[in-house]
Amino acid sequence: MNAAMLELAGVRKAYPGKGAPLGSRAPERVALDGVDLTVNRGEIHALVGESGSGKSTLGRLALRLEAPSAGRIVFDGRDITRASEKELSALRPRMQIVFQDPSGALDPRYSAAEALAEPFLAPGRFLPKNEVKNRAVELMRLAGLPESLLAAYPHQLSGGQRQRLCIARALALNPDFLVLDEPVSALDVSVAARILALLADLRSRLNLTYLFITHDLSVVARLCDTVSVMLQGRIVETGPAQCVLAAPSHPYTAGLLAAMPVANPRRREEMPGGSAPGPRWER
Amino acid sequence: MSAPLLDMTGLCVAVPTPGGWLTVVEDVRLRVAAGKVCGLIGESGCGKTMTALALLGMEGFQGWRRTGGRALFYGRDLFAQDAAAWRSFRGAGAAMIFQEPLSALNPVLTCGRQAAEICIAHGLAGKTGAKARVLELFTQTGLPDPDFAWSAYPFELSGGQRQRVMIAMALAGEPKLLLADEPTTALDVTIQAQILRLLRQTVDARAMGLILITHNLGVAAQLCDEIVVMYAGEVVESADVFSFYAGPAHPYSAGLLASLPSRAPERPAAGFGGIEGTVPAPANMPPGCRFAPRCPRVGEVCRTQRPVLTEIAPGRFVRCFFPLTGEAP
Amino acid sequence: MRNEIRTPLTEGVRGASCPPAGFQGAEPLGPSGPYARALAALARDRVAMAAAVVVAAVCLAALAAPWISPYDPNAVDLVLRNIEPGWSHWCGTDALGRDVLTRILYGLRVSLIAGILPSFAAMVLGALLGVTAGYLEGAAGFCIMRLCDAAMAFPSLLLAMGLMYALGSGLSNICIAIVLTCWTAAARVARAQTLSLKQREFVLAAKAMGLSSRAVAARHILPNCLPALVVLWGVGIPEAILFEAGLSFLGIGAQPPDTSLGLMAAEGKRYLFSAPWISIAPGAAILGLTLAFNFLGDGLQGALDPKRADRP
Repeated sequence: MNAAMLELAGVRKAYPGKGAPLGSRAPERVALDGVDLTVNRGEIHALVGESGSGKSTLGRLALRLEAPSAGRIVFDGRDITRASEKELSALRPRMQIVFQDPSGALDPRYSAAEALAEPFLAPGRFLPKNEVKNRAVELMRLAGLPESLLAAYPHQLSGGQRQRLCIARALALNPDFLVLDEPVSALDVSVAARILALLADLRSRLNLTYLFITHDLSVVARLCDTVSVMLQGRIVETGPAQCVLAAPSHPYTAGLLAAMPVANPRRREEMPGGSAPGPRWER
Repeated sequence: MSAPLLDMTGLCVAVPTPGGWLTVVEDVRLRVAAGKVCGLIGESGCGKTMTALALLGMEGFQGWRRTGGRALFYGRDLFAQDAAAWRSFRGAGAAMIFQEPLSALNPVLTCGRQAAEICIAHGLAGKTGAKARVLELFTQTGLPDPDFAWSAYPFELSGGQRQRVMIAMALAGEPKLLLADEPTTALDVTIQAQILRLLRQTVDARAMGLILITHNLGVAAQLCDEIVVMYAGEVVESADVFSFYAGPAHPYSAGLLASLPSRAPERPAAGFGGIEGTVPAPANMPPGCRFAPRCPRVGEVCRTQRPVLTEIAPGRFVRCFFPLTGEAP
Repeated sequence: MRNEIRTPLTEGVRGASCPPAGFQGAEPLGPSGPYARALAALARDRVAMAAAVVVAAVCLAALAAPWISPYDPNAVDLVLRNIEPGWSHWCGTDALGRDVLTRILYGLRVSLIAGILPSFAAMVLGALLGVTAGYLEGAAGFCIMRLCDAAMAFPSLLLAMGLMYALGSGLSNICIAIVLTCWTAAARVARAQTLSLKQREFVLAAKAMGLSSRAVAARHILPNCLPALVVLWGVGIPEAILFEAGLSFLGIGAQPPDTSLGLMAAEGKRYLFSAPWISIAPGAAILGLTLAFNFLGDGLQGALDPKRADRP
């Protein structure tokens, strides 16, 4: 058994510029510019960055939902950089993703039961109907949802319930590795706390490994074991969460920590700001 | 003591439903003084945005209706004024900043043109003088290149710059009261810090009042002088910021503070906090206290009788039969 | 008994402004699958059902024309020309003494066939091409959309005339001509919807689960394109009827003595002030048919929207 669940080496992702095939093209947009990342088995690895840093792209590449422009992606010892769809579909059950916006991640036309049955429609995973129903009930229980919500549609569920449904759906195929793309950013604080508790509980119960993408450093401090900080497509700092947050070595990380609003009015003077916009970070 | 900038009591808002009018905001009490920031805290669906829109008299646009309340703006009753008085109040008396500048700004007009519109509409500049005024406002709100912003469309600016444009537009009418509806939620944390600082400087320099609507308790701690917490359409707590964060009185506020990951070191290691259950829908309100189904300190009286907002200390109000006293647990 | 499931007031999701409908939690196994549910929701919509009844009645009447019509549609009687509507002729007679009501019944056949079938086929063809172009993008998408542009750029009447001259006149050829000129609107709409749906996270989630591209397109993209396409179809039916009328008027559509509603209306143009019923009666029939299809289309669009569909 490999110690590293996921390894990325020199991964680069560039999107072609917009423009007609025969006309002039805008310059290509580089989302990831040489990323090296290792996620060890059983850990919660946080990926922190602001908008445009490329963290969501990295999450998608980790699952090979897109192909990288350059570099290597190794999942549990297997090189999946150039794997075909067929080879990937055998691996798909082991790696799943939970998105930020629970209402966008659920097709509004299907009920919760149908959404939970969907993973079993893929070739090679077919299950008879009553087994699918039993599994759906089990998944709802795992995610902390009452069984009566199986007949509900996404628009009838609250935000927290929708996110729990997405988590249940991601667990349907018994994955080992979960990419969580800002799973609680769109939720209220009290609901987010329950979802974080659920995620922590599931990690220990099911021996999962998480790649936890977020912009909120306080969540990282509370939940995550390791953290990697991204800036404009590159990882600028990585290390154990407590160490990095207590003593950041890169100025960008220090800037993020300083800018984080603290829920203590007696510490107001520490807030940076100034009326001029902050420096655009040069690497 | 002079009359506070805004003194609103008993605000009630109702929405039309197939079964009749349903009250979604009830008995909201809000007070803002010049040069002070009042934070209106609550989670989604608690009615805080509707409260702000009711203050601006925006009911005609969205179908809901204000069914009660009195709002004294420098002693003048806002809810008793006619449509013409409302029009001059909006922009010159009070102005609003929205959460998502990309949807709050007109995408087919340049930023300069939109800001100039407001100056001209309130008679603060003619067509020729408007540009100079707008450029001055853009400089005051910290835009690095006001001339570029004047002729730029909203999508050409970054998120932080757009928010500065929106703040400039809000200030264009020289209002005394600013309503900011989650102004930094859509921004990166470094830009958020700058915008918060800008808001504080603006409020201090112009002796304005600011009502900051947010769900983010960290932001509220950094900027506000007073905190008002809303739950399920009611005000459940109102206190000054220091005593609130040192020890909230209402169990809901305590639950919110305990859910913050950043308060973790100050808490016992077990648990992430959070509050079980969901907010009751307006059509299904429990008979007693609205927070009773989820409250860890619930008693018999809470389920049957509705608590009223009582003053437990000078300037500190709470709507609870068993408020927490002293420091947070 | 107190309902255990609290109806949530958009708990959790920031920025949502209206509360979701209350969920009763006691819903038994209803029809499953988005299409079956849409039909069930349609059945609950009274206006749409009334419109559907009207459409069905009209189609039945047209089918049964040989048995229920009072007169022979081609019986020329030069004595009884241009008679006003009355007891013997409910819609009067036309310039050749033929009973207008009978001709309407026969004309309905042509108009209904020329209206419903080609617009439906155009929607299906356009949807398939549009979804393919949107999903695959790249070279295939490019070719399909340029073909679409070419078809749209050509004046539709000229294109239809050219096709008719090549294929010969006749109802089936009219239908083919209409399909080949009208598919472009559906293709553009389907492609636009597909492009925006492709970015939605539930499509990515389906891919992450290992579903094949075809399964994703069939399960997620097509059902979500349907509301827009159905509306297009509802608007396309009267358009097709009128298009066919234009072709018939130019002499390359329905050939006399066969008739269509549009042709009748066009032929009555000369007598608009002396015997207006010759044009008004078929015109009113077109109007009624258009309204019925519009209401039906509205109802279908509402039934396909999951948020509206579960309200009784």
